[in-house]
Amino acid sequence: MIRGKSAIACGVLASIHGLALVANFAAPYSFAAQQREFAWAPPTSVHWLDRHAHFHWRPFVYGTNGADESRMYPLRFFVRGASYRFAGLFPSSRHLFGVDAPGVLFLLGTDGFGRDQFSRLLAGSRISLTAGWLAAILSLALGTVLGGMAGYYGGWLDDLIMRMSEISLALPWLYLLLAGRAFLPLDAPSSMAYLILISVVGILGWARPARLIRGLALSLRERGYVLAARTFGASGPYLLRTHILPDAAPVLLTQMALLAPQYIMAEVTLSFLGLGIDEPVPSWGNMLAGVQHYHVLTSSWWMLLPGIAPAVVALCCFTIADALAGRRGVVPL
Amino acid sequence: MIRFAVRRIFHAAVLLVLISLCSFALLQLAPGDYVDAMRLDVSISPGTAAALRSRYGLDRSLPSRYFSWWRSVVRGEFGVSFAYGMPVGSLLWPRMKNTLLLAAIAAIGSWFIGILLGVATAITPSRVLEHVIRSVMSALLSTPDVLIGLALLLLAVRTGLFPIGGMGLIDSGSTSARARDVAAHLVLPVTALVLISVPVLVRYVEAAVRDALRSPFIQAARAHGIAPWRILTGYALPAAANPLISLFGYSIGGLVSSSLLVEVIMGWPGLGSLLLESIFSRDVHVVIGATLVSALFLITGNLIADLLLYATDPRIRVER
Amino acid sequence: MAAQVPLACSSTPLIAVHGLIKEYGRRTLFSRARVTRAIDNVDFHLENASAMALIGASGSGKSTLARCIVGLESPTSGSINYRGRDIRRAPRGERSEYRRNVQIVFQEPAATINPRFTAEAAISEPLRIAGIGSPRERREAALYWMGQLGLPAEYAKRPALQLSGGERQRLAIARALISSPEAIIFDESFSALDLPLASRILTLLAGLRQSHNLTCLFIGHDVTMLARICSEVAVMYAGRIVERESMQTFLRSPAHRYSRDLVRSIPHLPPGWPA
Repeated sequence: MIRGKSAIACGVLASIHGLALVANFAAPYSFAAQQREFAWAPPTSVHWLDRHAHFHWRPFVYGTNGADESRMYPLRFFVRGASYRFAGLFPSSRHLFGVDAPGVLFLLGTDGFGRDQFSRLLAGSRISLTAGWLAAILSLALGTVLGGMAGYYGGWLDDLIMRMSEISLALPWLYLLLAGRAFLPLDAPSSMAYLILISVVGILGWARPARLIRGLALSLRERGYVLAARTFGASGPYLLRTHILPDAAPVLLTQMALLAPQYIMAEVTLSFLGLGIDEPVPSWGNMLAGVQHYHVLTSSWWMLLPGIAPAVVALCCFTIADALAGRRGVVPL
Repeated sequence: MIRFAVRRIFHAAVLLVLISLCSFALLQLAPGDYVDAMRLDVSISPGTAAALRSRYGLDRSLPSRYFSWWRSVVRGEFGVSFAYGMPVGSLLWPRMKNTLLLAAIAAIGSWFIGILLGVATAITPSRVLEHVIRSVMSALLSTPDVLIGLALLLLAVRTGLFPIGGMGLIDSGSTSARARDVAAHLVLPVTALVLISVPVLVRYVEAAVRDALRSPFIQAARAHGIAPWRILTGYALPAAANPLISLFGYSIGGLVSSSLLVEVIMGWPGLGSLLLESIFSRDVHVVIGATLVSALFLITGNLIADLLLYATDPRIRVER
Repeated sequence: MAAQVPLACSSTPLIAVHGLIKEYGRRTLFSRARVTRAIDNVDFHLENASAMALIGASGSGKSTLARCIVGLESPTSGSINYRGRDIRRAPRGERSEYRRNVQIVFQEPAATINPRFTAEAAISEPLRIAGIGSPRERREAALYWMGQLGLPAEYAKRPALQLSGGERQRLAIARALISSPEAIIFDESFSALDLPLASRILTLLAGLRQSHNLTCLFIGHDVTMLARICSEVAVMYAGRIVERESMQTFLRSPAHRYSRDLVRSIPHLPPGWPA
């Protein structure tokens, strides 16, 4: 099952999540650190060959973000930098890689405040990734419970839940998200905003998984072995536990692989529009928000690069979902 | 058929009323109203604020506000926008037309390309072509809509080929000049919308055509020696049309959603950008009005799709 | 094991169905009544320790009747009596006892056993659900019945996925027998089994009837096979029981038109072949 493309996808995903986990360590700078003298700096070029065409084993950068070729700052590992708490517990100031001051290493350039985009990307990955996954789990859990009940018990419960899902699917999701978001406090503190985001996206997305699980429950309910167990006096919970849910597991897994990237993108959209995570906490979405301004667009193209991160994650997830669903491929949504 | 349509329209009306009710109810929960948003401007004193509140009727109870909103709906106004100081209806109407224009053209474009590519992927004997189309579509699907819009903007800025921002309606000049200007301004947003919508369409079309080609009656047709092209156009595509018509209804929702984002990024004066604006300023009547209109779009789209399905698929008629 | 009741004394039938009606379709305010009666006012009884055949064309309602008796479907009206007590109104304890004592084996072998379960887990499931016996006792019971049905002991730990349709059907029959029921309904259960195997199982069932007063109801088409073990026949047509008599009478002079067609179509070996 896991081979070829999906193995690569899993590997890439694991690396991205691994980096996100140790974001503070992996990033050369803190996400809030401003170096105003380097505002709107393009990405630093990393060289192996110097001016005299000598090869250096250790890559290096030139001073003043590449402008001053008289100074060379080699890349080092386990550099001392800004202090932080590793895993929120151990104070540390070692970073995975970096250059000694006054050299600077901006792998993805800087923004208007001189903040390193690469470090912000890593820090933002924590927010965006967890928001997406948590919302997907919420959505799937809600959908499974409601869809499972609708499919298994049938009757008026089924009718009610199906009507509600039709209403939910009848409205354009982004309008729904915005309207839902609009009715909640607009200037909430970061942690609150984070929770609001996850809840709104997760709860409003219940309908599609629910319909899927309902169909599954309906078909599984009539299987011979389920009927037989009923004749032995099996209770509803026993049937769900022993017979129905184990069969549903692959479907749920595939749904998860489809929903998570969509919800990560929902976070990107919401934060971009200003209704998600706000400054100064970085997220992949709000990092793209600044690009809308004309002068940014014309002169600082590197500000678009953070948008590639969610694309990579989505591509990997969709590849895995395709592999899980079999040769026919799966249609998202 | 008429009974079917009437029943659906009735459901739609009930749905819209429910939505308006829910929106109004949620209003009560939302902290802060329009006047609060205004208070960021320090020059407004509490007294002025209170006066404004009572003028806008924001200090009345929820039921009374709901009823006066309904009276306003009947008059065709849909309440009053605090920010623009005009009836919401007249505010929404031109915006709605703009969004419709954008969405309709994008829909035609994306379905055309989607069907082309989808059928191509399903029937091509060349594994290379199939692989290429699939990979490109996967890449497009994974790219966030925001990035697609911004990247197109960047392209436009760098090449200077297309105007960015606004609709470009110049007041003077002939109709054809204005039309050409609007068309020029349409290119970027439509391209963005098409790029966003096509990947999913291609997947669905490919799946539908493949399924149709696998069905027994196609095998039988092949065995009868009917030419492959005839099989495709006369048998397979009509069979594949069924799931695609259902998809059409759902795809309208996605299109309207994506158009919101594209409008905001490209500065196209449509319903979406208005909605966003009024959310930030807490211009509640506009929010509700815009939400209702978008729901109306969708419900209409679904209704058309259902009617089309009813007309083309004999199986549904038998069930009734 | 089931209580030993001398045959002569059982005056109350084990299972008796009175005025049973089962309708499908909904009568609502808005749609015209499109209701079909799968079971149309059926009176039926099953004597203790008997072997009865229920024959009928497809769609005559036989399977529906079986499902109603076992409690998988709720009849629209009528009563189902177990040892003279209406089981639909009985308290939960009696209903559970009824469920344990009346088992059913379905038609399709493929769907009847969860493919993920091992053979022994599948057979012992009724005991697990009812909480009877220790895991070891359950395993022994499963192995015993596997032996009785001709399944090698090595199959015990194999997932049902790996067994053939016929083997799975035998698992289903073993599963029905493991809780020592008083009655088993076989709904076309033997179609997946080859003749010698079916014959062997029928012999086993006949033996159980003698030793433990096991009551069997066989639903099916194959009159030849049923004639060998069943002493009584009931014929169902369009939701009604149209005939009920001893097997001999049925074979000699069937009354109903459908029964006559059925008996006439029984293939006979040409003279000279061994009987």
